Amino acid sequence: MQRLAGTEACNTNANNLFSDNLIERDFESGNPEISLGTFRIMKSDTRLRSDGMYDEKEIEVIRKAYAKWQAEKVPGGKEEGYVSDSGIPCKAVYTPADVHDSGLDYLKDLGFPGDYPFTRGISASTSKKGTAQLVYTGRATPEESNAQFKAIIGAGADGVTIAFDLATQLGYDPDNPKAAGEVGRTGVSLSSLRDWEIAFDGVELQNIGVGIVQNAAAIVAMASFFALAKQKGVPLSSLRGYCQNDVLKEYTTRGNYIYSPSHSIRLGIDTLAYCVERAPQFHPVQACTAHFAHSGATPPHEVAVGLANCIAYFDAAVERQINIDDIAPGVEWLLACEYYGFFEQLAKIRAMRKIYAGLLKERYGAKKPESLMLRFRAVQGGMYLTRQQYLTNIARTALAGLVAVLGGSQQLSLRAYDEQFGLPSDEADAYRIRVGHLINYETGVSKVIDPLAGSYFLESLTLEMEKKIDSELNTILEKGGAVKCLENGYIPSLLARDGFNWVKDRQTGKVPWIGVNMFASDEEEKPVRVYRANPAIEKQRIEAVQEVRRKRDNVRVKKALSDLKAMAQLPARKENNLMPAVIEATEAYATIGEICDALREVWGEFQEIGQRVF
Amino acid sequence: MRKKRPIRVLLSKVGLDGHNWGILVVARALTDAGMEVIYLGRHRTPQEIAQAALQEDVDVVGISSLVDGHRALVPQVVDLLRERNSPIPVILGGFIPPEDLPELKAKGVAQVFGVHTKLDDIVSWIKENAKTVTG
Repeated sequence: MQRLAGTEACNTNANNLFSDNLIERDFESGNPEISLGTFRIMKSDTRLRSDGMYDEKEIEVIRKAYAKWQAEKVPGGKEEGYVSDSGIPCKAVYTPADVHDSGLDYLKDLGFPGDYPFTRGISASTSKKGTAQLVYTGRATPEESNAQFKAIIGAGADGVTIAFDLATQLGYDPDNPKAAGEVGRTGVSLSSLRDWEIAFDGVELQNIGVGIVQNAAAIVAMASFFALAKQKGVPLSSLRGYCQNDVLKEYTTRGNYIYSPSHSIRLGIDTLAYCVERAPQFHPVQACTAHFAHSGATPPHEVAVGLANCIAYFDAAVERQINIDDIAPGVEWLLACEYYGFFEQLAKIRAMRKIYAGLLKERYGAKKPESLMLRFRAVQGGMYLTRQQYLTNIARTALAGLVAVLGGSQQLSLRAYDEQFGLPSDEADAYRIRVGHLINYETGVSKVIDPLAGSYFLESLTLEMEKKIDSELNTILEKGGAVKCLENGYIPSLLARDGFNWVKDRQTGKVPWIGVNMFASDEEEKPVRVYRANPAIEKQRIEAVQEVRRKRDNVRVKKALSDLKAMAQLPARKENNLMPAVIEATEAYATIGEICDALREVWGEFQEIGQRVF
Repeated sequence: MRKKRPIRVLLSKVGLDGHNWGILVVARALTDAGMEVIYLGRHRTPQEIAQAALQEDVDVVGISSLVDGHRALVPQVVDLLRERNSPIPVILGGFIPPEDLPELKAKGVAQVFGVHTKLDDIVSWIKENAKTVTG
């Protein structure tokens, strides 16, 4: 018999709930079940329901005992609570009565891992290897990055996530005047297929996952990656990894947009439709909530804005008569996982999995189990790390990683302890991988799926979080959805308010921050080794791209670019998918700047308007 | 000449850096302190920033950088303003490695604020150093 942890006093119904009898009896009563292979969805109105988690009489006994305990033991006769960052009133002590009052229904609200609504996770089994680590990396040149990729994989990571320099992210070649001063600075400069060949020279693609942090020019990066795989004889079907390719958040928090939102959405859907069919293990869109959190958004706002963006992509796809099950399995997520607000983070993850599954099922009628599952990469916010007493950052990453693993993330992306000084050093890179290993292997926390389920506090908090997210998401949808709310300023204002509060609360000391507003020391500290790109590489990169342009078949390039332009002029429809044309251009060694310029010529560029702020 | 109007600040991102959390927080802090803020947005060139500063007759130009572009681009804004004989102070905020400070100061950047700078300190600095005397 399974039991909720520590519920001695309320065993009757909790035990029945898990027995086979109840399930059989329910089926006999004629409730239909839709079977989808190993995955089951109950129709929402006929789903299994328990009569509540606890026996009413037992709950009354607990309530009375609790009142007595409070009066006798708690100083002042009442424990102090607090209001969480999400605005959820929390108590100091939780009991089964709180779970009972929240209305939690085990099968409806939680279910089992790998079962709808996936609150407890998307997989029915644990992974021996623990949560995969695709380490965030990318140094100035393809050559330097190649060495770093090998070092990171050699240190036991499961793959790499490539950070690009801003020029590459915005579709400029190193010799574009706009790239001056930025070549190779925030990551690697990869401007043509030739650079990809160098960066992955001697790296076996079939053994690793590759994450590509490209958004505005994602289609070019993915086309290059696929062209590289083809060269190496690796079938697309065996490629693992992702491309970030979630462009709507660029207009708010991340800022790397090229085209208008509608053209950007077209590119996103084209890549999704292309990849799900041919590269099913590669996720061409990593929808992000993390960037909102990492500019100060509260957990419910983080999730609501992220979901609203994803809805905008799915709605546009549906409008193009694309079947939801042909694209939804291609989406994975990037969620913030923080040590700060530890339990709210767990509640957020669990609530979001449930909401996402419901959304795909109810709003879009998705049928494939993979369409309903919220796969995610967990990423810690760099803004929690400090320059002050910077070694404390190692502990911060460990606790954030613990949240990610307890929350059932598929990939783990921890920060390096010296990131507040620049791109991570080799030493810091190695330590962050070890921190992940420590959580995966030494703690043993990943041996049980969703191990904190049944916590009176966490279950109560998860349901409250779900309400908060739902409410904000509904507000955005009522106001016309993500794109409308971008244009009318609703989402930017929401994020700006949260962002201001985040800073203010730490500056006033309302929120503790060790080394900054508590236990601060006057001593300046700095790590011994800090990586900084060599400014001389700009010239080297300019020469490299110019050499590519000299050596390639320029007739083929010209034709590929003009075909791409012609295709971009056609309406965004299933049959006008731009991916094949971009792949042909990259295979001809057209550069990212040339391909993006071809599209700029047809679509123009997006520019923020200057404004008076009141 | 004394001008009877609130302090007017032009805030802008420069170059390719797209992170705007910091600059929006500063914008809010300055408006809360009674200043007038014009936010030019992202991906602006030094030319656009200098032109807007002159056209809008601002008292301070504030630029935010979370990447490396500040080393080349912020001194360009200073130069463009000085070429037009404008004394408007140019200040920089963001993720600025400490080793960049001497060079930036030498090139005429009036003040540099790091990621942990108190918002009140930015407000006070602007009040003391803005070219307008508030009335």
